[in-house]
Amino acid sequence: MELNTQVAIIGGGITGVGIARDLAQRGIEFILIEKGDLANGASGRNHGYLHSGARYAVNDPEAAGECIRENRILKKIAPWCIEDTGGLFISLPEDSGTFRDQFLRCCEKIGIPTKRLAPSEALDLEPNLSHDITHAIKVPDGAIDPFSLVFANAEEAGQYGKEILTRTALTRLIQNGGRITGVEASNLETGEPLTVRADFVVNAAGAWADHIARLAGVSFELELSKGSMLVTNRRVSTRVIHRCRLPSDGDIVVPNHTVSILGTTSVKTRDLDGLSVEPGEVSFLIDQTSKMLPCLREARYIRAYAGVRPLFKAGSGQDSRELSRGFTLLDHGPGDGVKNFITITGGKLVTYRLMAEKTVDLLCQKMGLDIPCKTHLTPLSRPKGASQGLGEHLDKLGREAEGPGSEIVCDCELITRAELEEALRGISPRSLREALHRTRLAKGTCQGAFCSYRLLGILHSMGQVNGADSRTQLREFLEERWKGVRPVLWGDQLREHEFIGEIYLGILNLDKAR
Amino acid sequence: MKHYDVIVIGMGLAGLMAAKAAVERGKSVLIMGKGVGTAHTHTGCIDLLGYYPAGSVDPVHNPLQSLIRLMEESPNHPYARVGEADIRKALTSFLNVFNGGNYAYLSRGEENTITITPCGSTRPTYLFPSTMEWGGIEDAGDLLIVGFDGLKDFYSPSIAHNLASLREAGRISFKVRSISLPLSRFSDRRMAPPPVLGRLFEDHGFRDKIAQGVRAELKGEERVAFPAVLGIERAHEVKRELEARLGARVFEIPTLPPSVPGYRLFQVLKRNLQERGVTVIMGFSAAEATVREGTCLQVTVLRPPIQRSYSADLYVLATGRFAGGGLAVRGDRIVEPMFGLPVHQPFSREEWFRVRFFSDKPHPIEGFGVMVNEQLNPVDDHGNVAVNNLRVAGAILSGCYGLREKSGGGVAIATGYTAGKGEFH
Repeated sequence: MELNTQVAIIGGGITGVGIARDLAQRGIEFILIEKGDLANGASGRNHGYLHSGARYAVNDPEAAGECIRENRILKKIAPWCIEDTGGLFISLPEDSGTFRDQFLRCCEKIGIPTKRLAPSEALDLEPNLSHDITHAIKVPDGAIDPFSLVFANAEEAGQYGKEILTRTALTRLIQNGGRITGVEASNLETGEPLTVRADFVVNAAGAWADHIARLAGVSFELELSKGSMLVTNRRVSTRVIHRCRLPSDGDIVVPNHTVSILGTTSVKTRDLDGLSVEPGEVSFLIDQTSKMLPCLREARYIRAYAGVRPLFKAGSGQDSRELSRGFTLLDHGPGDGVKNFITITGGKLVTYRLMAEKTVDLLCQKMGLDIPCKTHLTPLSRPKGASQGLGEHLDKLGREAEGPGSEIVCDCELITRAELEEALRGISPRSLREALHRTRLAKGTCQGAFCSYRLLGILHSMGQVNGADSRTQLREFLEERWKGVRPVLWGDQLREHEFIGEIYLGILNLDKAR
Repeated sequence: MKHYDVIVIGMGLAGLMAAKAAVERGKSVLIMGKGVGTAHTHTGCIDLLGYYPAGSVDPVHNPLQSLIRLMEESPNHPYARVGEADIRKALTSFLNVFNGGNYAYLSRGEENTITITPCGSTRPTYLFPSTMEWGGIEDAGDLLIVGFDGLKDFYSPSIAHNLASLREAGRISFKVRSISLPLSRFSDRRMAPPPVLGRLFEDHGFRDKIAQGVRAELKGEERVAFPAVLGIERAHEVKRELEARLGARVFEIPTLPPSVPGYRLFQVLKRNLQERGVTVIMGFSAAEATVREGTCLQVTVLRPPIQRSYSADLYVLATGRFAGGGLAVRGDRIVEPMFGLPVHQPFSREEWFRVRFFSDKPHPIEGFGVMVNEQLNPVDDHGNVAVNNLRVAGAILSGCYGLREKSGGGVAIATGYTAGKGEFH
C-alpha cells in the first residue's frame, strides 16, 4: 500500500497524538505510525501526575514554568480527565529548612501559587500523614488519566486505520538527496508493507527516538531511566503528597481514581522491552513513601509497573535526574544534514501540548504557512468509553441502574456491561489491551478474578472473538496482568492470587486445556 | 477445660474427613473452622489425579494406576505418605457418606472423566456428583446448554462455541447449541449469583416456568446442561424433575465461585458429622495453640469477649493454604501461624514465582508447605517431629501441586482420613 501525506509522525504516545491533533486543527494532513498500541510507552506508564511545576521549581525553573502554564491550560481544555486534587509538599524533621525556603521563593518567582500550612492543618486535610511532619505547603498539583488524554487527542486528530495506524512498525526512512521523503513500514497484523510519502517526518518515538533517528544516519544520545511504581488497593490520601526536598526516589504518592500510586525509582536501563519491577524496588518504595504516609507500610498493594523516561543527553557525566525535564526539538537539517526530519524528545505528560505546538510551529515555518496554534483554546472532547471521575460515575450508575446493559461486570471498579461494550466495540482482537486501557476493568482490588472471565463472555457475545482464539485471549489477558501483580504478591494479595489460581487453573483448567 | 479424643482444626474437605474417620472409630471429636474451607471455590467434583507429572498437558486416564507411579517417583508427595491402601480406604469412606441418599458421588469406573468447564475447555476429574452424570465429553447425545441473562459467571454461548471447535477437531461426537434465558422472565429478579439461583430452583413454580421455557427451545437434543445451580438441598430431585419435564438427560456444568455443588458437599459432610455426635464450632476469629516440649496441650478459640480452651489426645491441623489462613507471610518468609510449624520453602521471595503465569512448570510457591512423616506428624528439614500429638492434612502439606496435578480433592480426602483414623501402615 502506498499513501501520500504532508507529515508522517512516528510514535503513538502523547507527543505523537498531540502533534496529530495540532496538525489536524491547522488543516495539515498527517499519518501517524505506531508499532504497538497507543500509549504503549511512558505515556501509559507513569503516575498520572498533573504537575504544578513545583517539583522542578528549584532545580529546573524553566521546566517548572512550562508545567504550571500547561497545567492551567489542561484544566481548562480537558477537565474531564483531571482530578483537581491539589498537592501537599511536606517536610519531615530530617528535611532541610534551607531547601524549603528556596522552594517557596522559586515557586513565587515562577508563579506557582503556594500556601503554607501548620502541621495540624495538614493533618486535618490528610489524616494519614505522618504525625512527625514539621511543615506543609499547598500547591496546585493534580491527578490526570493519561490513557484518556492520549485517546482523546487521537480521536480528535483522525481516524484509526486511516490517519492513525497502530501495530505498524517503521522499517526504513526514505532518503533522497539529503532529505527525508517518506517512510516504509509494515503492518504487524497482516505483514503487509506500507509506504508513506511525506513532505516531513516527525520522530516522536519517546524512548525509541534514538533508534528511529539512527535509521536516517543521525545519532544522538538518550539516557533511559526506568521508574517503578506501586499501586495500592485504595486511596490513602486525597491530595498528591510530595516530600519537600530535591526530587529523589520514593518521594511522591498520587491519588488516582480509586487507588494511590507510589513513585518512583530511577534506574539506568538499556532494555526497553522486558521491563520488570524488582522486589528490592518494591521494598524501597514502601520504605521511603511510608515515612510520609505510615499506613503505606501495611497497605495492600495490587500492582506494580515500570516506565522508561527518555532524557535527551546534552552533556555527559550528569546524573539522569539532573537533566532537564524540559523538552528538546531537533531539526536534523542544519545540524545533521538530513532535511525535513525533526525529532521531538523529552518533556512531561503535562507539557505534551506545548511540545506539539512548538513542533507544528516549526513545520509551518518550513512549509511557509502562517497558521496560529489553537490547541490551548479549543476544548478536548472525552474519548469514547473513557473512565470518569468517581462521583460522576456513581451518579450515572444510579441513574441507569435498571436499564439494559446495566449489570456490573467489574465489581471492584463498578463497570457496567454497557460501558465495557462501548469501549470494546469495533476493536480488533489484537487491540484488546488498548481497549481495556479505556476502562478500569481488572484494575481494582480483585485484579480480574471475576471480570477476566466475564470479559471473555462479553467479547464472545459481541462476536469479537472466535472459539479457537477465546481461551488464548483469556490466557494473554491474565498473563499481561501477571506482570504487574507478581512483584507485589505477599500478604492479602497472595490470598487473592491463590483465589485466582483456583478459578483459572483449578476450575477452568486454563494451564492445560487446549 | 473440655477434653476430646481428637480436635480437628479446619473445616475444608481434609478436616471434615479427619473428623469422620475419628468419630467412626468411637472417638469424641471437636471440629473448629473459620468458614467452609475452599468449598465455594471448587467445582464440586473430586479430583484424584488429573495430570502427572504436574506439568503434563495430557490427562491421566486411570488415576489409581498413575498414583502408583507418582508414589514411587515422588516419595515426599502426600499420597506417598499415605500409601495406596489408605487412599482407597479414604475414597470408600468418602463415598459411604452419600450411601442411602439420592445425591451421590459417581465415577466412570476407575477412570477419569473429562468434564466441561464454564469457559468450554475440558478438564479431567475422578468423582462427580450425580447432578453431573452424563456431562462428560465422552458421553453421547446432542447437547443444549442453558444459561441465564442475569447469571454473570456462566456464558452459555461461549461454552457452546468452544465445544463446537472440539467437535470440528473430532474430539467430541455430539452437536452443541446454547440458549440464554432472561432471568426476569421467570422471577422478579434480574440478576442472581449462583447460591440465589440455587434457592430459586428449589421453588416448584420457578422450576416449572424454566422447564416450559427450555422445552420450547429444544430441537431434539438428548441432553440439556444447566449451570450448577439446580437446587441446594434437593438437587437430585430438581434434576429428576427437569429430566421428566424435558424428556432429556439433564446435567450441571460448574460455575465460577461461589460454587453451589461445593456448598452441597460441605453441607452433607457437616450434617453427617453432627448426626454422629461431632461437636462443630464455626466462625472463630483466631485460634492459638499451646505447645510445651513438642506436645500440644490445648487450643484456644478467641471469640471476643469469650475465650475458650479445649484439649485433646490428638490434634489434626487442616487449615489450608494462604486463602484459608493455614499459611501466611511474615516479612519475606512463609509461616504456619497457629503452631509455628517448619515450612518447607526456598531461601528468597524472588524464587516464589515464575516469570510467566501460565508456565509449563508450577510456580515453586505452589509446592511449599508443612512437611510431614508417614504418620503425618509435622517434621523439620531433618525429619525431627515438631509436635508429637499433631497430624497435618490437606492443602497445607508440601510436596504437592494440587492445582496443576488436579489432585486437591483426593489429597484432602486421603490425608484427612488418614490423619483422623489414627492407625498407620
